Amino acid sequence: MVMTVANILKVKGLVYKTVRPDETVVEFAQHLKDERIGAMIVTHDGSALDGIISERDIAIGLAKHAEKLLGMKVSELMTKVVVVCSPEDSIDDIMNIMTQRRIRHLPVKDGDKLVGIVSIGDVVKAHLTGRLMSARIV
Amino acid sequence: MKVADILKAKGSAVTTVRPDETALELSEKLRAERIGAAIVSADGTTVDGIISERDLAYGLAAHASRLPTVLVDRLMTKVVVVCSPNDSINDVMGVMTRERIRHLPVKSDGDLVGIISIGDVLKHRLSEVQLEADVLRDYARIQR
Repeated sequence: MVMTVANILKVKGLVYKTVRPDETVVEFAQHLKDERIGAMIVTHDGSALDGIISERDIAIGLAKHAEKLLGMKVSELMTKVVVVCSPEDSIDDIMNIMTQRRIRHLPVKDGDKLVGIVSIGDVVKAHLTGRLMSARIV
Repeated sequence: MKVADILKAKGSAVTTVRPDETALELSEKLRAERIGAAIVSADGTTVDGIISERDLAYGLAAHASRLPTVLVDRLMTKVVVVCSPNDSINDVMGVMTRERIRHLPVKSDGDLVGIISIGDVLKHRLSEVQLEADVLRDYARIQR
């Protein structure tokens, strides 16, 4: 049985957290803290994928902009060219993408529709349960 | 597959930061080294804590405009979960998943000998998966 992104979404649900491009970096940091997550989808209308923004963007943003970071908007720090995956992609495929591109979050698109987000933590967890299951079968 | 195998491939280099450095200095170090976390150490060998991009993000929420000058000491995680070179990759995956952490310092007989990230774990798991696939393909070929 090949594990897919759809299997991960079945466990974690078809949910993703969003932030607007015109929110400030401090507001974004507060959302991350409240939700205990590492990245959010940037969208102006709640469904279009305008970008993605993560903890890493804050760390790099601080190094680049120092105190000017505080006045910046999400749109100025986000990654605009977003690598996405589809529900049919295998876990091995997205492991490859995450390793090669050094990214930890992939939005999931089913056709044109955004249906979720998978993190590197989700992938490791899925891997672990997959191995436990095959160990039990053996 | 063990933690020691990962360290063999990536080396035992560990980036450290002093507890009295500022968040701004830490961010510059993370960016220059292209890493996500650093070990906090006053003397370069003892592990006083660990600090990551996540601590900077949460620190921004808590300290807002003061963040650039806040000291590492105030943002770091002081109770550090560590692993040993003999731990299996599976064990480490379990710890990272349960504790929701992405970096584990590696200690051997009390000495800091490296650090492994969730990215390192994934990379190694991937090479294992590819190896398994190669072996199966070879086996299938022999059967024909």
